[in-house]
Amino acid sequence: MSKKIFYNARIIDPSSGLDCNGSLIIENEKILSIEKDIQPEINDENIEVFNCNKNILSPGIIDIGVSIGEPGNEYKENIITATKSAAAGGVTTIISMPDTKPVIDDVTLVDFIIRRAKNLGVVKIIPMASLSKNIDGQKMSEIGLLKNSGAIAFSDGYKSIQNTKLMKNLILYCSDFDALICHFTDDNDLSDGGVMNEGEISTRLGLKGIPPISESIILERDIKLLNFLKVGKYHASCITTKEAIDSIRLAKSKSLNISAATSQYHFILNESEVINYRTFAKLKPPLRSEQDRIEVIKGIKDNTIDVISSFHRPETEENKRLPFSLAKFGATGLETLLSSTLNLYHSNEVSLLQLMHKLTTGPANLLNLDQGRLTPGSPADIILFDPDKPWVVKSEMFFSKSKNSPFNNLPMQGKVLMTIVSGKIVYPFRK
Amino acid sequence: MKQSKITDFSQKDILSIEDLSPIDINLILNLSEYYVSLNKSQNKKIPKLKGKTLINLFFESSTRTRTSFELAGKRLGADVINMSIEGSSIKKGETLLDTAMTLNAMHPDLMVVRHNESGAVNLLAKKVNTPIINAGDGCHSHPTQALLDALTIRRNLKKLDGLNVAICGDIMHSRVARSNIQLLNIMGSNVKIVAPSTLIPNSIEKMGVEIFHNMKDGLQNCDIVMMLRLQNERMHGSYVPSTREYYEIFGLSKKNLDKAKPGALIMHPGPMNRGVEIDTEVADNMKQSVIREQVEMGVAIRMACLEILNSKRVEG
Repeated sequence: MSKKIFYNARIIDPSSGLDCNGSLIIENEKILSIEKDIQPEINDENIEVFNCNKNILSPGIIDIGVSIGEPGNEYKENIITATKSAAAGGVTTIISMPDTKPVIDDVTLVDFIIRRAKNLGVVKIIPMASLSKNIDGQKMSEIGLLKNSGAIAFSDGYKSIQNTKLMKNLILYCSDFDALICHFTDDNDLSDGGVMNEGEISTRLGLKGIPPISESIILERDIKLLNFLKVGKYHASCITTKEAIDSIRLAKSKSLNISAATSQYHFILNESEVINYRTFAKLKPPLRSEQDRIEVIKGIKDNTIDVISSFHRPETEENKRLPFSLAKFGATGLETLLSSTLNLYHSNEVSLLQLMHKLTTGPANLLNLDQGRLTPGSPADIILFDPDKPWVVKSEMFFSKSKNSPFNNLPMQGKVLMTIVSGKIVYPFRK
Repeated sequence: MKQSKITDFSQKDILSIEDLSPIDINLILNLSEYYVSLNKSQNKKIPKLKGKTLINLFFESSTRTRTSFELAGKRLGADVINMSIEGSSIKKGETLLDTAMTLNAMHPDLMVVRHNESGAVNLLAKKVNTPIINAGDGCHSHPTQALLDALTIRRNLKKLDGLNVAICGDIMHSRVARSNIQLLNIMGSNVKIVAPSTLIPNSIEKMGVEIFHNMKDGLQNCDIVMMLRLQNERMHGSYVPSTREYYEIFGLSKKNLDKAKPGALIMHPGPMNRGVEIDTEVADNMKQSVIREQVEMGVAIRMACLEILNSKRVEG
């Protein structure tokens, strides 16, 4: 029996709307209670006491859609580096992407991730499995078996299912298992060969554009299917355009079982980042126009967007230092997710409680997880952070194996001081 | 007006027209005039680049531009090395920086680079300290083509401002169009583009052009008609139904040419698809077509660019 008492903290629990000063008590792996006042001078060797110095205690972040590098891309990232990076960024649960080599489309691979994560992971990893076999958009994966083996949701990673009949059957079939579909929406023909947002800048740079409509056209199709089939639990993995946000807003007003996420990049940066052919800002979905960036913030504010994710996608230097069209998509993001999200709090655009909800309770509710809240009895996955602490992103200091961040050298505010997973302090790392 | 010297040139490299000021552009054009006359004389050689090494690095096939640069370098007395590196596009990308670093270690004095990917030459210029001239990158930029077009126009019409220029055809895939739009805007002319909507890139009007979808309206009152090649090799998917239809509606026929000002100049960066975007008779019309003169100006412009970047380097 071991207890930890965190006192003198500002405690934020988005699941209950709690925001107060007080103490939090952990017993073993669970949260025991939250107290307004507590006498911390207890002389009991089984009780560890921490002064939080008025910093914020909140549930740990649950990050949907992280590329962990295993299996197949260990040279970019592995379970140890990914989870260390997560711990340093305040992410206590990683929901991993299935677009690995091989693709997570088989129960043995789900088992592989769960086992490796348990043995080596610094934080929790729960795998997603693929919607289509080998994410080729042709044939359904074994949704039932995969779900039983522990796949928490189904996604084709950054690929989009083009075949409408397959999507219809996936919505129907997944509903039999109450399985969540996380779909990245993109019309492959419209965005064929595209490497950045289509607009004035792509025209000037002579680069092939990805039109904003290629995101909403597939999303609209999926919404129509959900509406028609009257079943299905659907999460739009990453929406970045006004049109897509409007579609989600409308679908929600019709009470469809739909949710949406956006990435940490799309409310901070816009397409002008790629001027001078900056491949570190080559992302999927691409950075959009300034108007779209503002719409994303509006969507976050009015809860059209439920979840903010890092879309951590590590890439090596060699894959990025290429002519723009040949460079790989993606950015390393676990260690900037909290700070970039807090940006909206510091600019007075969204409340702290609301933002923390989208990082913790929001994804937890979507995935039916016990964590992501500070209610007594729930897992002690907690972070302590200073919301105001200024720092400058230096990607070479990342714990992630890859350093491809478009935020490099950008000043940020807010930093994780401590990360606790299942009652154990996992960050700061022990020397 | 104070006469500017070639060392007043603002850039280390010539990568894109948008990096250049009107002073830079005039510097190149004025110096080129001298080389135009030199190229017509008996002894075409001048030892401005004697002892210097020029590397022509071509990642995309080219006959005319490469030859033009080679001739320009040789007439200036430089040792010219031509390297053509073609293969699968991924391979090319991988070797781009390595190749550049290798060549850089050989201490060339000037490099001319063409690449099929937009921005590849900019990437290279960041990594090597040798002055670089962009000989065309993807759909992005082809500055020496725009400069030679400007020289051709200036020699024929005695000015570069206040002109109405129609650029017609495959704007979407054309680096020549982008560079010409920029240069003509910088120098104060009006640019119209004429093309089917499918070949007009998003928001091109923000680069300072008026858009037309038929030759009749687009060519109205134009001093210059610049035709572009249909770049089938860059097209993925269906942009125009057939070359027959394209020629009929967007090709420069005698009938369409009548809409422009009488005696309007006809230009084409080459290579031409006769009977696709331009009628043979129009292309060979000795009174109006300056297509061959464009090629001639190309060598002079490239000599001027090489000399300017070299003196800049020596000075710096």
